[in-house]
Amino acid sequence: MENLNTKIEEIIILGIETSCDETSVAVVKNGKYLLSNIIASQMKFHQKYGGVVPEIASRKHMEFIMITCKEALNKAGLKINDIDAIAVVPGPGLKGSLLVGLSFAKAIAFALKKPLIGVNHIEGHIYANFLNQHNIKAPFISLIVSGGHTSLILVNRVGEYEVIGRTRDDAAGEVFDKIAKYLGYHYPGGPIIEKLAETGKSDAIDFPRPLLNSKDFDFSFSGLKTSVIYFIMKERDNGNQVHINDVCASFQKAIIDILKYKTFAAARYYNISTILLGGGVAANEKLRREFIENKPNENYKICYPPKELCTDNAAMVASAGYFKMKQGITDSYNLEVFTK
Amino acid sequence: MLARDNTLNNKFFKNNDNGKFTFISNNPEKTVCLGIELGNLLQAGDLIAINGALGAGKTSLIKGIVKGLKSPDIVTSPTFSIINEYSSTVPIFHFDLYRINKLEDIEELGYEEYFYSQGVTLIEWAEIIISYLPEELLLINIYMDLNNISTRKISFEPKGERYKKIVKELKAIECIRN
Amino acid sequence: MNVLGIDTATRVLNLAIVNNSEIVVDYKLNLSEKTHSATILPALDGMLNLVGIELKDINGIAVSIGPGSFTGLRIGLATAKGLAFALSTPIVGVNSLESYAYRWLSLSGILCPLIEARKGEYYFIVYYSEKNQLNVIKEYQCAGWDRISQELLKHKGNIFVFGEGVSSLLVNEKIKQYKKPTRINFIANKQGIANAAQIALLGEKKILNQQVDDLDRLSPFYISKSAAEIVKEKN
Repeated sequence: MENLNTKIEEIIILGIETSCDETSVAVVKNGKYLLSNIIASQMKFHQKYGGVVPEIASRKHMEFIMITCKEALNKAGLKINDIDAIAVVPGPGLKGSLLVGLSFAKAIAFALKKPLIGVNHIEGHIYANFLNQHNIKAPFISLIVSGGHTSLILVNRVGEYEVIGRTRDDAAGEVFDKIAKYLGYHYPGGPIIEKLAETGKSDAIDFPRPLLNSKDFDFSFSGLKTSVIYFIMKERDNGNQVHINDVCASFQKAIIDILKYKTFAAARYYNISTILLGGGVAANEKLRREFIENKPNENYKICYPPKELCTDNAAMVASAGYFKMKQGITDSYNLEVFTK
Repeated sequence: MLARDNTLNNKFFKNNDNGKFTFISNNPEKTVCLGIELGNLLQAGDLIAINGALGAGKTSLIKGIVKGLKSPDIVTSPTFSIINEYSSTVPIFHFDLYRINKLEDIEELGYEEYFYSQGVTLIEWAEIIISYLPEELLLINIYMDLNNISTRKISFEPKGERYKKIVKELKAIECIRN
Repeated sequence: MNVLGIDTATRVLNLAIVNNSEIVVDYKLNLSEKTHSATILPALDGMLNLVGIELKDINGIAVSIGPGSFTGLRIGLATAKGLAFALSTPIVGVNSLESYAYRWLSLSGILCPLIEARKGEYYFIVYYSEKNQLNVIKEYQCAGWDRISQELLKHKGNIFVFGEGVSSLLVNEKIKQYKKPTRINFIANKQGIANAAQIALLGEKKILNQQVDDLDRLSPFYISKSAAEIVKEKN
């Protein structure tokens, strides 16, 4: 007799991310449902290992990978054998760090005889938008902006990406971090600048907006960075009180203006009306509002992930892994790391 | 926390007074040009440490050097990635140690594979790892000018015969002298 | 019991399987164009196929935790952890120096295995070996030959120096010129530098003695220049 009950597909992906500072492992169902997302520096055990600040050292990844993975499975209420596939970041990032996650992921995939899917770190940030959100359809343009990256990516379909614009020097997030440090604050600088900017006037200082009118969709932030530093240096040298809030509000506006302008210009050029934001700087509330409130017209759809999914995490990797696997894109056990 | 100060300068001031050279750059383009000329003179095994405050233009100079080494790759800031690698006839390793807080972290990166390799190594914020640097290298200091945002004073301090020779050749180049 | 040994501390990828103190297979791969990261799993897969053993038949995993190349060690240890976790098998971390010493357990006297660190410096450890028992008399560190030989000659009796670092040492220090008056015997082992079989044998012994490691905490041994040395160099 025919079975009238259709089996509901449940694909559980284990995501692993060790590309730079953070060790993260996550469990995601069907690319959208976040069952767990564990980030090592945020775990309660961190005190034992010393400090909340994520560390560059690959030795930390080796220390954390196992407990992070176990915690991710525990939180999801699953065992390693329940995993259907493993998604991992082979790059870009720091070689020693990447190798920890990649070797670990490959070994698990091999032992369980399950598929392995490599997910580019930047690609992962794009898919952070797919978690807990529905109805995003390609083609779309994604702006990924963080401490390490500022890129505009045209996504025709899953697995088909074209980098249509990128920074020619510093990443936008880097400017936030460096100015914050210059002002005497600790990492991470982004949230601090954002907070200081709240009570500042964004038109107080007219900082340069490099490359704003260039014919391409590239970015440049080092000139802006130098201007801000120079401004602060001169004020201090002249014995003036530096109005930090105004400085922060003004340069934050300059960065957001550049990002907004270029992204919408690219969207117009490629005739795309869906824009996905991602990366640590996409957690900036002002940026998010500017994109929504200043989109060219009502037809534009702007998406961004919840703040905790903007910074590096494995859940986005697991999500990307799911969609790639569905397209038949998987990798073999000789998947290698790449650094850029 | 290791001090980001003049310690690197002090290491070399004491016993290396000759071979030094200072260049005044009026704008970022000139800095890049200087870098290109320097890049032309470099070869496998060379190591350059570039010292300068935030915004001084270390990465700009390196853009020039990488271009001078005939690499088509785009030079971006490796602050987050720590190491960027560019390809040319020799591999080029661009380090940014800004985020290195502990000396031991440099071990983590397998520094010997780069510093003592057959590539060209360019290091920003090298002062953090003085004890790991080879005896012979080219130290470049970039100073900003409070009266002019575009002006930079770029000083070259070669340590070792090979680098003294490079600086000498650099000095002799027409457009550098003017 | 089948124990899988993994040694990625050197240029050579070495995997082995031992069973009841017998070496079933010792598989070495020296491929200059590819890293251990690219080759370790295909090599493991190939080796298992060749000997007709399945992963589920592996009862324990022994892995080198150094000293050696940081990159290599990380690849080996992360792979070993992934396997041990997915297969629910015990894991043992083995110090390469210790594994060299176990090979020469039958010798009585002072045993000093060496692994070359960087030019002119060697990782070493000093054991006293008697009646097939090893006792550590100097914990492991990194130094030049002058300091190492000074340390060794403090002790009476026969002194044996062996391991991966010996051939470089003999070349670097031109030992032949000075060899005669000392009590130091050098064993330049032609068997090669990687050591997975010995690691697996030692691992099997430890597993049988319930001396397994904590999967969460197992880390490579890191020795670098001591803090004192760095401060000295700065001044």
